[in-house]
Amino acid sequence: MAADNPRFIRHLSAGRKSAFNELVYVFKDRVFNTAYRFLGDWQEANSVARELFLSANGNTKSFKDESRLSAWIYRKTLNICKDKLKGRESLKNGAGFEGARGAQNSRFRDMPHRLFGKKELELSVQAALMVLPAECREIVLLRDIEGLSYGQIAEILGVEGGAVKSKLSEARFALKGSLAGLIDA
Amino acid sequence: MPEKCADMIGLLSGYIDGELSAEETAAVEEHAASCENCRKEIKRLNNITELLRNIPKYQASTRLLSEVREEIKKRRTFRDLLRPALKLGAGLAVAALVLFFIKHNFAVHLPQKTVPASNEISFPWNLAKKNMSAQDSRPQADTDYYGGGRTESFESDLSRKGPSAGLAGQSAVGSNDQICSPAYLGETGVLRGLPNQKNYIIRTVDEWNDFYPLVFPEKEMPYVDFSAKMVVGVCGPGNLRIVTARAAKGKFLVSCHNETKKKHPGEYSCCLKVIEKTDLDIEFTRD
Repeated sequence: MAADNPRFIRHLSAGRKSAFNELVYVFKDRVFNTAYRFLGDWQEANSVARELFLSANGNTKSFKDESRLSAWIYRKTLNICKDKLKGRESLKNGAGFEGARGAQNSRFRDMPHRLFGKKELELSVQAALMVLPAECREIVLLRDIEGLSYGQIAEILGVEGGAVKSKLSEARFALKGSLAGLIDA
Repeated sequence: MPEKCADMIGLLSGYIDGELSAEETAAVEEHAASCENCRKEIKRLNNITELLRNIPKYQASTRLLSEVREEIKKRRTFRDLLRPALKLGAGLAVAALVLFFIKHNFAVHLPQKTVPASNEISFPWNLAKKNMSAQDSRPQADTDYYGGGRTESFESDLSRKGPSAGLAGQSAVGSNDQICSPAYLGETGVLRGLPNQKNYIIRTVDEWNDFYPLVFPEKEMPYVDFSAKMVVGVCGPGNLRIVTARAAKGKFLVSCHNETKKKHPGEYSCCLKVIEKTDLDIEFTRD
């Protein structure tokens, strides 16, 4: 990955345009997915990604290594998402989840019929995510969707490893209740 | 839920991630081996993580980079429009400051009508202009510190009046009754200062027509006791240097720093001037 490349980080720190383009290329999908799963809104997720990279444009000089860069990007993404959540009281209860509409407006429009079961499954998972408290949702997103380690999550959220473990456990048990029909052993 | 299961439940999430200590892992495994409920819990948790892991991952808009670039360009364009105006503003501000300081410096060099009570002010003695001989210092000092016209008028004033003009000029600083009482040793010197300025500019006269401009940053002021309402300045025949003045039983003891003594033995007695009337004796010591 380009972000692992020390030269890329050097060029980014030096404010090179090509390095910034590469930054967008490397992180755009991760940023978009995190925002989409956190907010459940396609348009807002795009808006978060735009805001994030605009903000990164003036801040890349302070990035000294890939892990910090990555942590900064996730942290900033989640912060922008949380800002957008403010004032969206309805989303706290899962109402107003626009995942289905957003998805249907894009690539899911032409989805083959046989895959529709997967789509329903995805919507159920997204709805279950949306009823989680924000602090549980972000942890489960980072761990189970983005596949980050406890240490990386702790760095992103600025918490101790123990807090990550307990919040994740709490989030997963809450999801277990919401998704009982799909996951029963 | 059995008590043992309740203890285990908090560990299961960490267990499926392999984030437990060896001890905790062994405890969970030992319990799960004999507890079907906990085995099912572990399976459910694994199913959840699998569901989440396999949730579709979408790509950001293909226009994202171009949109971001456009926005950056737009913002930059706005900044570029502002920049000339900012530069012009900054230029004007600098020009105004320069004009202010030029005017201010002239004001500093103007003979003052009053000199405040010495116990309210403190004149530093760190003399900025060093290694300036009495014979050749004037033109250089003028060039360095003062505008030619300004200095010229001051000098001509003195030269016109001769040696006594030094005192006469000095008297012009304030009332003859209160200041400029010529209690000095050696050559006559003149000290003038503006105590309300952070940087004092003081002139001393080493010889009648030689002026040393002295600039003292406030923080470099040496210790001076003003309890006797007097200010003392000292400079050598060729070199200006730091001195301290101390009040001791009605006498001022003026001495050089040890470093100065080593470098310039015997050179520190020529120019001293008290610019406030005092009946105190001035004693200069060379020890």
